[in-house]
Amino acid sequence: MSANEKSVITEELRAWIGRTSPVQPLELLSASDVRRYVDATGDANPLWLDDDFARSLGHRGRLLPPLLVGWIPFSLKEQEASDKLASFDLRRQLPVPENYTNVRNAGNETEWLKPVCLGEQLSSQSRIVDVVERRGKMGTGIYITQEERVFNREQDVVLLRRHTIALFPEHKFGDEEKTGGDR
Amino acid sequence: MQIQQRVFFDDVEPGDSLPSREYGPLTVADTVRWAGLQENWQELHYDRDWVREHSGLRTFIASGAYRQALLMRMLTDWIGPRGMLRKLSVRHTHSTFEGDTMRFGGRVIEKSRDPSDPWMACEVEGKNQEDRQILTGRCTLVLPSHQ
Repeated sequence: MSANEKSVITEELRAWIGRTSPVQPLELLSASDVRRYVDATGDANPLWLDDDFARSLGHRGRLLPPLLVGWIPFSLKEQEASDKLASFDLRRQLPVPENYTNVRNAGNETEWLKPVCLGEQLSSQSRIVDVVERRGKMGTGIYITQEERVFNREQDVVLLRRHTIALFPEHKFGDEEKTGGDR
Repeated sequence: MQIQQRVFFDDVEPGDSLPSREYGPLTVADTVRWAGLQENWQELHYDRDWVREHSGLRTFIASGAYRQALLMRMLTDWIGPRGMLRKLSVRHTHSTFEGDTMRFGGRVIEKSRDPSDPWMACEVEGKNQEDRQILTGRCTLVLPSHQ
């Protein structure tokens, strides 16, 4: 970016780097949620479906599929929060320019530190770790990276995730441009 | 139920391929089931007409999380009930459109030298029916030992 070009990252936006949500309890997932996951993916692993099988391997009961550990449905992520830091998805609270409506999944890294059983109460905490701009063929993108920590009842961290989304100005995609599509 | 552990740390070496797995072709039923689970009502993932009008794409595309779930299914099936998926990083490189297939595979690139901490690192990749890459990533898997 040349010195004359104005950055899309304002001081107000930059000020979000390092902001951390309070630790918040997550909605308890049910056997029905897991069944819907299995229906959607075909992942009928007995570890997620059969308590006796899971116990035979030393677990307290059936495990949550790894993708469902720290799972937050979009309906909750999109909820308006009066306290922005108490939102389940801090990234949605950031003051990005209004025309930055195209959201792309720019990658994620997840680490599972302990298995989690169905019915375990989990809680999570999020932090904005980076906000940067990058120029590409779709214009200037704003890349927001959020780190999430998920805790079990003993306050052990069971999952760590870093997820980056890229926001671009409103634009019709060509088939070559659009990637993951998921936020 | 009998515990079926088919792969062990001792038997796997860097350079070995992970068994590949193909899913699809992607249908609206697949994406709607996923949208329901995720409570993600973005038309991009199930409404052909909306997508053509508003996004300029030929049809709807799979959610990135759905593709990641299928990749994880491939990995957890392979490592078996005594294995553990410890880490996974994924970068999406091309969309999966209605009618596309998704084939996931991988390769072991590094292995722990400490049998008491039996991890291995793998590269993973997804491709469509035209052999075009749709995602790439790395994972760390923990496998049981024979001992």
